[in-house]
Amino acid sequence: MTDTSEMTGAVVQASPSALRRFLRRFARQRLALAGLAFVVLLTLAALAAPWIAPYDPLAINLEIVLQGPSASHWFGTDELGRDVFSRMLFAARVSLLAALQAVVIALLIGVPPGLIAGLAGGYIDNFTMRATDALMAFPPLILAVAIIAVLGPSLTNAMIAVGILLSPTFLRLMRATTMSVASETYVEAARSIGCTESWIITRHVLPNVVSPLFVQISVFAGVAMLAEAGLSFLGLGTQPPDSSWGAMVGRAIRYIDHAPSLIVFPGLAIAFTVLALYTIGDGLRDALGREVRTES
Amino acid sequence: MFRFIAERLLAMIPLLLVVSLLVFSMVLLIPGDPAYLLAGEDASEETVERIREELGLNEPVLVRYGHWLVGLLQGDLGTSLFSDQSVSGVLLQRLPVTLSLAGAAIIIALLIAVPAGVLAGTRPGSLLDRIVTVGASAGLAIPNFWLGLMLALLFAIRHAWFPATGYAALSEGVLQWWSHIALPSFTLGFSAAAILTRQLRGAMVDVMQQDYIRTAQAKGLLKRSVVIKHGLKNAAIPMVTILGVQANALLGGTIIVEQVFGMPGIGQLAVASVFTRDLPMIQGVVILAVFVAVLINLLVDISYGYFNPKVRPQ
Repeated sequence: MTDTSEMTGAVVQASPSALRRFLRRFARQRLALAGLAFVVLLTLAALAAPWIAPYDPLAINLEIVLQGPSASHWFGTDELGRDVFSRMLFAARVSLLAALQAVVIALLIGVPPGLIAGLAGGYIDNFTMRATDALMAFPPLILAVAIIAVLGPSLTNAMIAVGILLSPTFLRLMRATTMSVASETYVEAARSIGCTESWIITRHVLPNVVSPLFVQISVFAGVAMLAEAGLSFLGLGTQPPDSSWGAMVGRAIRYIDHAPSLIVFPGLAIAFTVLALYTIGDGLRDALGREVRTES
Repeated sequence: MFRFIAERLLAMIPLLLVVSLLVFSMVLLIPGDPAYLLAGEDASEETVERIREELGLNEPVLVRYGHWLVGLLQGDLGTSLFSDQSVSGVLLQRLPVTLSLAGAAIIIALLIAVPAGVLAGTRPGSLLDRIVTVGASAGLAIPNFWLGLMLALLFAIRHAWFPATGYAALSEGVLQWWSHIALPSFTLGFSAAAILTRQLRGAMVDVMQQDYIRTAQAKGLLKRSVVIKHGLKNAAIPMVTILGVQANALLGGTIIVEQVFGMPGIGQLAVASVFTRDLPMIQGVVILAVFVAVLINLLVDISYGYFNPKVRPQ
């Protein structure tokens, strides 16, 4: 591979025509588009929950407790006679926001040191890598529980824990891509004509390392959603009166025999959302992957 | 081989030191006075003082870390703030539950993933391949606590084929043990099976296009022996790496699965200890979990040598 072809391979995502090509390629993947449509619709429904929910999610009606799905209550009612469908619409807000929170925290912790390690090399790089080794030696959920033990059980603390858990992967990804971009000739050229380091980082390095990040963001949104659901199920995440899908399942265990629909529907909601996020990630990877392959 | 293992063990020491420092500093990271916090709001001054003494909070930090580390090396992880039992005693008593759960889960994951991955990977694009791929995607997205509850509902509550909760030690009979561990270990192993299947399928598709496979076929070997001896053995190399990562994830997953099936293991202890604010117990759980995880990864590294002679030490 010659230097010039490497260069086009790396800058290709930054130029507008390449972006259009990438979007066209992504749009051709029906599964990924379906995943994207699902997530967009779900987000809109969650945002519009107060207006589109058929019932008040907190309205108690003790005459209709633990009913199965029916025409008036699509997903049935819970132990206090509250409408499960309406509750799930509101819980979607918590679940989606929590996943977003965790991914943003992971990006904030992982990306800057990854960039620095990739550019600086030497003992800074070495130290950063050993730190991620240590973090990755912990079984993931055990580390989350340990962090929650220190900070106290709450949704924000749980998402800080999940963010810390996910950050080493972002860090390593950033480091690896930064290293390869930093050795490109256009970075050398920029440096030789006297550009400052911060100019090189913001104008040459950053635009070329973000695309692989998007694949990981999409997949990790799914991972974060699963982690939030698991922690809230255990009672370590979302605290009453708030509710996420995972917390709904956790509270319904007592009624598993009488009203399994209380568990079935929130669980399916989690599974489909996570699947949609993974599919988007796969689609992004394929669209990006081919871009790099054809250009280099 | 011996030197290889010795080098690996030596390389673990700095890592374990860093981990021990992180786990120790949990006490330091608790906002406010940990003794007051751990004792609860309406604790007497004596209780707070006792906890302060127990955690050694009156001494300088480095001295405390030194004491703690020396204790750790001797297997002394302190005393539970909740039950006054020795942490290492409680952990040892519960460890077999968690290890048999995680071990059975890995075996189930492999029993699903190896045939599914090989069958799908040798027939890319077929109906079977598509079924396996869809199943693997579902396996990645389904929350394990939900899968566990569904299995418990179907096979323990609606049909009483398995007990819904509890655990029986191996000494009580293999059948007893298996009936208690079947549903939990399937629950725990399912997502690992999905990841391993995807990985193995991809690797098999690649490997089966290699020249040495064509050579093996051309010299008239049975299809089975081409697939297993030449295909699977090469495709297994990346899978072994994933297996190490997955073993780590499975150890974490026991926290949730033990809760679903009411199994008296380490994971259940970890959750209970968060609610009782039993910090020494949580520290013990974390240290033990990391230790087991590091040991598993050592085993994975050693098994590379079997699959890939290139990394075998001379």
